[in-house]
Amino acid sequence: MTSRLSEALHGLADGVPAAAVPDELFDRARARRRHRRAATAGMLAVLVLLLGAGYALRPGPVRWPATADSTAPGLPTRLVDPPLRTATVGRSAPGAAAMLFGGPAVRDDWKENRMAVVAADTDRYRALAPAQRQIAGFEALLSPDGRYVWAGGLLYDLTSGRSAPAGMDGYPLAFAPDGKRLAYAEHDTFTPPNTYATPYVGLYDRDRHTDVLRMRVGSAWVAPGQAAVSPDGGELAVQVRDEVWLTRVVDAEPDGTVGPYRKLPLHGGRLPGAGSWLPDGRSVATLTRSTCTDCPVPSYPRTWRLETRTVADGTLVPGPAFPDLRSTTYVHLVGWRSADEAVALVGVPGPAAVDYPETHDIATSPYQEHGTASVQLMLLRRGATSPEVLFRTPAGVTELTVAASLAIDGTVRESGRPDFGPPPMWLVAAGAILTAIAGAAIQSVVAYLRRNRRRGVSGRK
Amino acid sequence: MDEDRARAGFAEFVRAENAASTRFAYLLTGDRHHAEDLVQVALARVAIRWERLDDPGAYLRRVLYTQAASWWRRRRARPPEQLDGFVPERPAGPEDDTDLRVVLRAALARLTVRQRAVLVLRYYEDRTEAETAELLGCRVGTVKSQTRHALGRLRALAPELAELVGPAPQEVTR
Repeated sequence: MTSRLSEALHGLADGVPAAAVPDELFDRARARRRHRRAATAGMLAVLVLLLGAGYALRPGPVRWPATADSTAPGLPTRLVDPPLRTATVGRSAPGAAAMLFGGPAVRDDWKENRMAVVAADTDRYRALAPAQRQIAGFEALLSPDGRYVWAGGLLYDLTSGRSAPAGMDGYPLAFAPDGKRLAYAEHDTFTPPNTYATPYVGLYDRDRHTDVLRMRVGSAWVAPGQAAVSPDGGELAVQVRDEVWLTRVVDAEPDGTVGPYRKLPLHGGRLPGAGSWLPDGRSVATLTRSTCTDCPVPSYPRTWRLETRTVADGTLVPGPAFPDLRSTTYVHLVGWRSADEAVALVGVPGPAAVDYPETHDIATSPYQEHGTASVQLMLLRRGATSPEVLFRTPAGVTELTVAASLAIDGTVRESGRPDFGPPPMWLVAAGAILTAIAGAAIQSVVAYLRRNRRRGVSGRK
Repeated sequence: MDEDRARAGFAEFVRAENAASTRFAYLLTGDRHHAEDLVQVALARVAIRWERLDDPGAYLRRVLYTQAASWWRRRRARPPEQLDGFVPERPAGPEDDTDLRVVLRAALARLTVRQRAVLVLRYYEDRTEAETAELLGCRVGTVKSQTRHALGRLRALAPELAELVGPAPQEVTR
């Protein structure tokens, strides 16, 4: 039966004449092949050259002198939200910073880890985006001289734009006042269902590249921001549960391990951050917690009072009281202008803030303070009835830390026109693509209009 | 010298294969002009690789098949398929071979390129299933199934072709 199909197919095709094949088909096909190969090789060479030239001429980090000479360094009087196009620290170094800040106005859905710094000498804003979300002032710290940001295990040098591992494996607790030693906590361990513990707290010496002190804290969890290094860098105060543990480098074993030489009870209070040591190094500040009745934010009655205790025996240092800090989420001391004047960063509660009890559960840990709406830089004077507000963050900036040296000296400069640095590469690329698309669209419209005009002219003829 | 020898060999190959390859291409495409274009493109490819080809004829057919398949995929307007089982009305059954060829040509156009290629290689060029599989770069089982599907489709599209392709296989029951 299929022989009939063969016959039919032959009947269909046998009458078809052979295709005309040009005599020069062989040479022409090979020549075309050679030309295409040469063109492809040429294009590849141009592409490689362009890529190589682009790599060689790529914009590098702009070095900035550590001591800026444009204006006198100081804390700016105003802070603005850095727009999306703000250059990163790595791309354009801002120089020593006056402030490191973060919050909803700085982050967005695209860059959810974003923080920003503003330089000390002029309003140069630059962005920082560590791999993990860090809270400025707690998990991301600014060195007292404003040169370094310590976040996520890295030290960012703001004068060069480079970053390098901080040298130890843990999360930040505090810079020493001279910036040479770093107090840190080894990464916490987790025991289900909800127990976190810090294996030990260490004091890392940046010059010697080693720990000069390691203190085990049992099964306690040390919250970020709750440690302080003494002015001479030789002692460390750490809040461990409801106590402040004091320890000395000179007491450390050759391997750095040491136990506390004194434990100060807090009675529900706190150690107020990196500036807790008084300038003489013989007293340490603590916070006591109470509730207010005529609070600025009635729904948030938490009130903090600053006290100073001698490290020798833990007794209160006599003197007039510091003013109460009513309706305040947290208090972080930046430093001391004198034994009677402390500079502090104070969290202001927003409508969503809830005055939780002083528990150290990870979900409501004191350092996070959900609902903090803004941060104020304050001067607390003994005997004063109220604190003096030096600076307050604008709306949307809920995290702030400052260069301690500037805040303690009280040097303030008038804010000027913000500089957000060179545009990022993605913006340049997007601009080029949009320009190309717009150019192509305009060309198409012009060509369409010309065609129509020609048709109109020929139609009239 | 080598180039001259290659040119001469290619010219000899074109003389020997041109007519057969054109007919093969015509049966694949159903269009003389397109078949001619297809043959020229395929011969140009053969010319480029002439020194490296062990079996230029097989390569030529393979290129014709792949190019026809590419063209078929790119083709914007494909003939509408009758998916409801109804065969469009046509004049009464074929009265002679000419009518039968017209019907066959129309029915071939409704097959896929692979089905057409299998039919052409098997029944026009009298290739074995193994040769067909090698030329098309597929397995023998695929050649068998494509042949069965192609014949079945011809039967469905044009019942009057039953005398060419044979009756549908009977279902075997136990």
